[in-house]
Amino acid sequence: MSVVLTKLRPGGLNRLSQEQIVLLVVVALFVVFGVLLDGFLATDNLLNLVRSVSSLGILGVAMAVVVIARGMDLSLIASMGVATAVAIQLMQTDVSTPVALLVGLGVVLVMGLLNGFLIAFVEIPALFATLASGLLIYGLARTTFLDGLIAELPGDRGFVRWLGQGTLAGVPVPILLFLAVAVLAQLMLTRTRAGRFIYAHGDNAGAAALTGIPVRPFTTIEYMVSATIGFVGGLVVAGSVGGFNTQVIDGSLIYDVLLVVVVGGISLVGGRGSVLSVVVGTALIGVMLNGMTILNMNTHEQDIVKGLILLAALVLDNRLHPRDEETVRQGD
Amino acid sequence: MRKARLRVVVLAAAVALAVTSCSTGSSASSGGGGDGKTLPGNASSKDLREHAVSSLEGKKAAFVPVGMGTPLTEEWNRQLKRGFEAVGMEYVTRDPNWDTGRQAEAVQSLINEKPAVLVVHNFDVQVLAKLIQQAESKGIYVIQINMVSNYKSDAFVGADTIDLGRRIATDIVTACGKDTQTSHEVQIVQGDATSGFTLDVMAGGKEVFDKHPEIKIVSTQAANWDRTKAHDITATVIQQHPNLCASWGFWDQMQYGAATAIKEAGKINQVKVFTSDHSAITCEAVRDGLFFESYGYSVSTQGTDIVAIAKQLLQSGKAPGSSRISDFTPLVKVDHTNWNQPNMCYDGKNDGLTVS
Repeated sequence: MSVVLTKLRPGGLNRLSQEQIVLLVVVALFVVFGVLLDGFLATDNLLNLVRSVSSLGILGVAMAVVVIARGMDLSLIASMGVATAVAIQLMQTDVSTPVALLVGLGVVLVMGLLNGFLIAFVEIPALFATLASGLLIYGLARTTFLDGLIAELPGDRGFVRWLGQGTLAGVPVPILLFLAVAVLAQLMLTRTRAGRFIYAHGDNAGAAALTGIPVRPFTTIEYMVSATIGFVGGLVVAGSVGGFNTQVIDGSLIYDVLLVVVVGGISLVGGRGSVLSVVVGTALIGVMLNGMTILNMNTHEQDIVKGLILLAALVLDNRLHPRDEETVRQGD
Repeated sequence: MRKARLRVVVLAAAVALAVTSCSTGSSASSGGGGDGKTLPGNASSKDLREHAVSSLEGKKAAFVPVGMGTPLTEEWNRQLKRGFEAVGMEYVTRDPNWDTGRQAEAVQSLINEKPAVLVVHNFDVQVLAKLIQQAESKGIYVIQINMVSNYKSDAFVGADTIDLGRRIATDIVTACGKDTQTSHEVQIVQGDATSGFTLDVMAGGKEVFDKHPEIKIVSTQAANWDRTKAHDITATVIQQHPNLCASWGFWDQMQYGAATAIKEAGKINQVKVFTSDHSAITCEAVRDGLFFESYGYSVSTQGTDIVAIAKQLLQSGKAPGSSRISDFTPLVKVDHTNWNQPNMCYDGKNDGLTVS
């Protein structure tokens, strides 16, 4: 099958990575919207465009870390949501902001540790382990600690509000946080030994173990890092709207995050893609959402566009990375 | 085939209901619902008490909201629990956590448990329509709260949403209409596009705006009751329409996100933010200048109203499905002149009312 597909593949596309193709699509959409829509190219609109997807981008980076290592974290939204809501609820009491944030950080670290342990040591597939752990932590939090669906951020907690609403030199803080997280994650993945291990782990976990990489403890660390990055995204969401609605945990945000990751070219089979893929994927979603809102499209029309884009990305992924003996087998 | 038979049965039941409900007009006749008894006018106090106690005690009431954990649903829940338990009824809630599928399942399983009264908060106009009908045919009184279904049940308790839409639209015309030096541009942030609340408020608003062609609705988007979505949509709209005069969102919890976006754009003094409901966040937002006005719908009394209507239904001797009562709760405008009045807003935790 892949032979046939290879023959069908146009020569030009073949030389471009998915990341580059999506980037081209983003640029094309950008030009089209820029010409057709008044005010699309205004600096304020562009800043707003990036700002509105920066929390999605941060969550995308978090997901990317585990997906590159051939993992998957379906509990990402649950752990970030619970940690953020717990931190905010503590802020409604006399607890100081740093302590509340540390407790939130503790929640995501424990969650990462639990996921890593289940996946690496108990050897449950990541998909199921994180699906279960996400349900578990949300259920536990709602029945024991959390007061309600929505955690309202008290007006005097300026730091968290600043994370979501502040600006530095005219640039909204969420954008700067997204950039900082993206750059740090990219440096970690490409310039450090840990990053190389993550790629090696994703590419071929067995071979990585043979070369002496402590794959099991490493998996645990990957999930902890990912959950920590997710927490930053949660704080941005909470800061920007003055509260956190834990309803998102049950919603479709996790699919949006996966969409951003997959569209940008981080393959679900692991070992491929980079943080740039997430940035490109996020930019695509951002340009689309912004353009569709300006065009005043209704929910269903927006669903059509989103569905088509996702399908196109999957077809592209299939053609660029055809399934073969090497990639379909788990643990080779 | 089975469907056809079912339809015959339902039709027969409906005819039977219609006949019984016609015959219950006189004082001491027997009805189909509750325990079927009504009292004559010369009944003793003891009889009156016994009739009430026997109609209510030990019966079960169930509440299925769209999702628990918001001040709105928590406030209803508190009032319902207190009211039903005070008369010796059993009270249960099922929380679908904003999932339409789970809400339908919860109602379906409650129909099998056959409580005496079922209180539902419809996610949209369609999802529970058939189930409500089914519940009534099984002898359960169904009361809908605040968001109505396409199928109207024994009672509806909630805001008069059409009038709510009319009133806010009228206030928007006052603030942004042709007599003002504004752009006349208005943004609308809907809840769920197919919610009964959204549809009725839109209908009321349209009546008014149709008479005022100068009002330009520059954006109508559904934020599905979600604050973050309202924020992101509004952030884009305000860039696109920098002279926007008003932003109208259909729920305070959601619209707070839109207000935040407008504030971030530095336009909160220019854009007037309109919304409805009066949870604590409304009073805070009005105080902080984020909301221009919000219409509360007396949430603190809605729960007690439901209990009162349930008691009435259970003692009436009328069959479930034979009444169509609507109890529109008073609309109260909250703005900078009155937000700090006692009990203007509720928090879902403490009493908005001083009832014990």
